[in-house]
Parts: sequence; C-alpha cells; structure tokens
Amino acid sequence: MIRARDLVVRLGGVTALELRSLDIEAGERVAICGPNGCGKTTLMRVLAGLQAPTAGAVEGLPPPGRTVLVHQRPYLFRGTSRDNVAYALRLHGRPAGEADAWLARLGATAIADRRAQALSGGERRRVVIARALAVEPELLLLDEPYAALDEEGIAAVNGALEGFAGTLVVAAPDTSLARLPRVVRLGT
Amino acid sequence: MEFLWDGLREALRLLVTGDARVFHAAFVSILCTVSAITLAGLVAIPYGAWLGLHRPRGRAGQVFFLRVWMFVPTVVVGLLVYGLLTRHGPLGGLDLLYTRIAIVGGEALLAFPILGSATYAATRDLDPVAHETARTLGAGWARAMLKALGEVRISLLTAVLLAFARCFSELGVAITVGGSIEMRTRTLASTVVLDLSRGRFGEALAPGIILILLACGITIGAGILARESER
Repeated sequence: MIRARDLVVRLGGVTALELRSLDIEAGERVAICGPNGCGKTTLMRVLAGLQAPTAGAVEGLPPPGRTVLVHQRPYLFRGTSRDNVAYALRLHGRPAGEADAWLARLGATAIADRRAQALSGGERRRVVIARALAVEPELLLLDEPYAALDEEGIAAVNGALEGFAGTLVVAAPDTSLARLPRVVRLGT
Repeated sequence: MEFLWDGLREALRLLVTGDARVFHAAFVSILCTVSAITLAGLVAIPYGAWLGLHRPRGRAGQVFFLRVWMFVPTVVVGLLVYGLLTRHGPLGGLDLLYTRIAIVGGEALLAFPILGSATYAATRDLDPVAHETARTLGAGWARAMLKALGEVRISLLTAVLLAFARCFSELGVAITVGGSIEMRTRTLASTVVLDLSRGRFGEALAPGIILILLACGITIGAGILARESER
C-alpha cells in the first residue's frame, strides 16, 4: 500500500502541494481531481519519484522502473510510434515485436509507422499511453490523460485501462471521463 | 604565377606518386584527431549532458570555464601539456614527450571544451520531460542520458565536427609536444609549416591539399549522416 503523510512541496518559494494524508491500496484505481494549480501534477511527480517532497514522506512506492508516469505534456522520442513503444519494451527485456499489439489496444495501429513528430495531440496521447502500458508497471500515473482526446480516443484509453491490473492514479480536472471508483480532491 | 603553377605541379606529383612522407603525415593527423576526439568525448559528452540535464549547482561557473577554455590558443595548451610531460614535469617519468600519445592528450584537451559546452547547450534546450520519460519508463540515469543524447544527435554531430576541425588543423600541440618528427609525429599541418620554412612551396602545398580534401570528405560524410539520422 502507498502511504503519503504530511506532504509539502515548495518550488521556488511557492507551495506547490500540501497533502495531509493519502493511502492507495495495491491494485486500486484512484482519480485525483482539483482546480488548476492545486498540486495534481506535483503529487504525480512525487509518486513517480521525480520530485522529492520538502516535508513529509511517501512509503510503499514500487521499486524504480516499476512506476510509469505519463506527463501532462507527454514526450515522444524521435522515430515512429512503434519505435517509441518498442523502446519501452526493450528497457524491460521484452521483445520489440509486441509493440504493435500495445498500439492496437489504443486503436493506434494506423499510426504505428508515423513519425512521432507528425502526430496530432490526440494521437500522441494514445501512443504514450500504449508505451506506458507496454511496460506493465505496478503503478501507472496518468497526468491529464484525456487532454486533446476526442470521444473515440477517450473510449480507447478507458478500454485499454480496463485491462490494466496494477495500481492506477489519474489526475484530471474533470474526473467524470476517467470513471474511476475513488476520487481524491486536492485543494479543498 | 609560374611559381604557383610549379608549386601546384610538384604538390600533385607528390600526391599522385603516393609520397610516403606526406601520406604518413595524413595518417598521423587522422589517427591523433580521431583518438583525441574519442578520448575527450568519453568524458566531455557525459559531463555536458550531466550539466544540461541535472542542472547542478555551480553549473554557470563550469560552463563559463568551458567557454573560456575553448578560446585558449592551441600553443598554450601545448605548453601546458609540455609542462606536464617534460622530464622535470609531474608526468615526466612516463617518457611521453614527442610521441603521438602526447599529441592525442593535447588535442583531447582542445576538443574537451567544445564537446562539453555543445553537449550542455543541446541537452539544456531539450525538453526536460524527455529525460524524465526515459527514466520513468525504466531506464537508469545513464541509459536515459543516452536516450536524451540521441534526441539531440544532430547538435552533437556538429560539435564533433567543430572539435575535429580544431584538432585536425592545429599546430600548437603537434609541434610543442609532438616535436614534428618525420615519419613519427609529423602531422599535415606541421608538414606545411616546416616545408614552407625550408622554402619548399610545392611540398608544403601537397599536405595542404590533403587537408582541404579530407575536410571536404568529412563535411560531406557528416551531412549524409545527419540526413540519414533525420529520417
């Protein structure tokens, strides 16, 4: 179980996150919501191990390499969509040939050979989520995964996430899209 | 004008007949430059990437030092290496003065600030999410750095070209610590200077032509490499 207590993150003299308590059970699916600037992204970065808290602590995080964060402004490496997913697979010693199957789960088969730089915002989002799922992490953190997605894209993402067996944390201003059983509100 | 034509004719004769002196100098130039850039790159590129990606405290001072170092004349770098390798210097016991290893060491010091500062600039301008993405997907720091460097490979290629240009045509190190010993440590650039000082214009022109041809070849090769990696 992940346990966060008395978390405070200050960035450049500004308090970016204050969170008294948060427990997330293994395999739980949680939506983090709240207005802009309430600290959703900072919390995701802390859970991903990319941001050390100024005060407080988080316990029970998976070991390095078992947590994947999909950033709010996702980055795709040079190469095609397939290359991006294959890179993640290779990092975990898995065959790159599985990349197409992961893209198919996100309905992104048609863009497998497209260069990452030529993809639209919604297409990029599908590829980065396919890349993250391909790693089969213990903890998957998605920061505003529905941004730039149309209805079909949202359905594809939700469909792919249904098959995900690990712990899922989704940060979004509007949690209705994620349809997750538990909602944690920040900044209230 | 006839003087120029005679010189050119003599230079072409040396090139066509495969003059051992000239081609050995070309071999030494290429060997020393490639070795120096490899040696410098192994340290300077990770160092520049660390400065650009990790953004440690005190990096402004380090970057300033690298940039100043780029402007240091080659002969001053040669002097520094000479001071280290001369019999009375701290590394005098290694007996490396007037060897190709000494030239490689000196030229590595010339290449280091170019590669380091260019890598820093390229990785600093890269979206920080790139490195974080590789990290969060499961890459260790070093592997994520390699991925980030792959994202800025065109900038790195340009840096390597600049370092190559600086080392390949330099004189200060080659003469000061190489000694310009014929068929041993004489480079193309030092051959030009020595032959000219002896009044042998044609013989000085031959290595000059090779220098220009090699520069053209390397530039074309780098252009092809850049185009291929953009695909």
